[in-house]
Amino acid sequence: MANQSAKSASRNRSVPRLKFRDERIFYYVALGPTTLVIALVVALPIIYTFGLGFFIQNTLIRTWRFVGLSNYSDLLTDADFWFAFWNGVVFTVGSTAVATVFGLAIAILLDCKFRGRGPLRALVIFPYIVPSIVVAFIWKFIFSGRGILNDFLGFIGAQTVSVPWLGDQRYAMMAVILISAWTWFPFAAITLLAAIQNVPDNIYEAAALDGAGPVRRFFHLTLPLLAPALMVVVLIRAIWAFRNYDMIWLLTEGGPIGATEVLPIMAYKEAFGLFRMGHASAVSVSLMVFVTLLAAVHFRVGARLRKAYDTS
Amino acid sequence: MAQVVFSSVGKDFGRDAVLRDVEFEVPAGRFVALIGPSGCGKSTLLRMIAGLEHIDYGEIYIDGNAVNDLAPKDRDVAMVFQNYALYPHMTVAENMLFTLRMARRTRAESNDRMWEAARILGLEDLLDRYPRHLSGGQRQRVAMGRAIVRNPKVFLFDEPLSNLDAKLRVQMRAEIKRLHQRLGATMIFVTHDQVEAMTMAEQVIILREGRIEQVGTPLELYDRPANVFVAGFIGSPAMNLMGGTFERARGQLCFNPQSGSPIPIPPGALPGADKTIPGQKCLLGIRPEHITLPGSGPDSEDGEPFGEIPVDVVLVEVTGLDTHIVASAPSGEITILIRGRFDTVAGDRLQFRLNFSLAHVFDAETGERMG
Repeated sequence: MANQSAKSASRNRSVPRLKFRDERIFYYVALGPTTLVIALVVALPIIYTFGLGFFIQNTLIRTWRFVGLSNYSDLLTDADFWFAFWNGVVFTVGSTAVATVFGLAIAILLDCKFRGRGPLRALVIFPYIVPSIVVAFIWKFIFSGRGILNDFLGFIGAQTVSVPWLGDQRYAMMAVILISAWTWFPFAAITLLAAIQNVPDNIYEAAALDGAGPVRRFFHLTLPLLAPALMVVVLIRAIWAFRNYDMIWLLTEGGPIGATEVLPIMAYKEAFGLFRMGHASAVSVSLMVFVTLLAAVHFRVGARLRKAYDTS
Repeated sequence: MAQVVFSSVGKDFGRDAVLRDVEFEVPAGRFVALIGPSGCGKSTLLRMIAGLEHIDYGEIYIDGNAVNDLAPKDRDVAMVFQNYALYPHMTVAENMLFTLRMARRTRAESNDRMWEAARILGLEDLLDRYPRHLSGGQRQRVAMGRAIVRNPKVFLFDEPLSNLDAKLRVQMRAEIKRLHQRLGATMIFVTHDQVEAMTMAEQVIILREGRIEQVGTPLELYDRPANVFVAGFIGSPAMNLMGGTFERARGQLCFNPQSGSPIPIPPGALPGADKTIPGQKCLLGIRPEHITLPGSGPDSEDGEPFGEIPVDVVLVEVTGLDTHIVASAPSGEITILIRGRFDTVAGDRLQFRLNFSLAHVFDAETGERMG
């Protein structure tokens, strides 16, 4: 009897320890495969790219030559690199601004009460879910020299000569910015709509009683109260825009004459057009540095704003 | 200071009428409470004064001017919301200055007014804080400060105390009342708490299902409820209501409950009973504090206004200050309230003594007061 109770006591004591160890093992077993896969498909290529940046390597003739930092120093003096960097900045700022302003307008519209609001809210997401390749073909058709945009402009008498918008050095970047903003604005609209709906109606009612009309309510209440959400939208969009490859490639392949060539496209062309893997890696790594900086700003500023504008 | 008049005002939400032919007048400078169960339309009524709800028919006048078509900002009313509705991204000072900025007042005048309001409400030390750093009671005060700085014609309060804990609520009750005495402004206060309405207001309007049931001073409502609803709504514990008829046998008036033996009523004690016709179904209402136990209340005299009934104690609640006894009588459950302590337990048999001179008679069909 006494023996039995001692046994059960010792079992009781050992149960939590055993359980704890079991849990730890379970964590490793559960996380192991995922960690391994991520290491293989994410970490390894990054490390490989990093390493590649220190070599001159040609995939065709399979030679490796260690050159230290000269790939990077080449870039710093390469006008094409800075031109692509600048294009990336223009594209990022342009498409982010257009998508955010348009998204905000749509969000405010969708917050108003009117018939058919439900279906319209669902429809707004359409540009976001259409595959890039489809978007690219639709807009290439619209913007082409004999596309409906030129037909329309000719019809209303705004222009006499057709312009191949994506093929003209002067307009290509603008066209690419507009198209890419079109695919992104639903994200902005839906995020901002959620933020708008988060603001209690009472605050607007109080402001209306305090003598603020719709315009002043927008600038004194809506805009400041949306600041955290706006910041999230802008920074996420900026990060995605700066490393955007697919849409620009599908629309212009970086042309005409490099007018829309951004860093990811430059990296691609270096790697798979000129087979200069070392150069391409250096471009990729510098791109990664810029994007990481943007992401750092995103997390820092985002956290601060969320704290400052806590509406609870 | 301004008078507010409702002239047969109504509102429908879809097919449901929320307010029907509401008609009342708030004299300038008066403190009025709008009270009723949830969903009775009291908040809607307040929001209609503010211009936040559309008026479907009828007219609202503020200071003699119809305001139906005026925007909220042009009505010169200030409102304190239940959740305070402070601007979260502005400091306490900015919250109070906002309305003055919108009105394009000079900086000096705005600051003077803001400081004045801060002084009245004891907010001087909190001016550079944000609402999220304030406690419920402080937010409440800022919301009132935002109303005060404007010096509006009418103050509207939409259940401003319901988010506060019990102790703070009592404190803010006194503070709002003091504020009214100090400013002398017209104030309309919505609440579902009858204690708030009774203690704060000079005039109480009771609403039910979009209709006004009674308008009067707190004591008028308490002493002479116009109908069964008001009788049951005002007062805690609620008034006892017994169904039955009044019969006259050999010159003696009796209350004949639905079950149980008739209770004789002393002559002249219950004027309402004389208005009934024999056999008419009535409700006899008597407040818990108007029922006593023999020996504990005033002793019977000539023409005593009392009637006695035997009861069995069901439940005893002691608050410390007084004792509530719930007992079952043949005519139904009766609650009484005794000042002080009384030693009794469930199952005891007691005599309850009803003070008929303080009782009420209502028509059981219409619920209206008789006499």
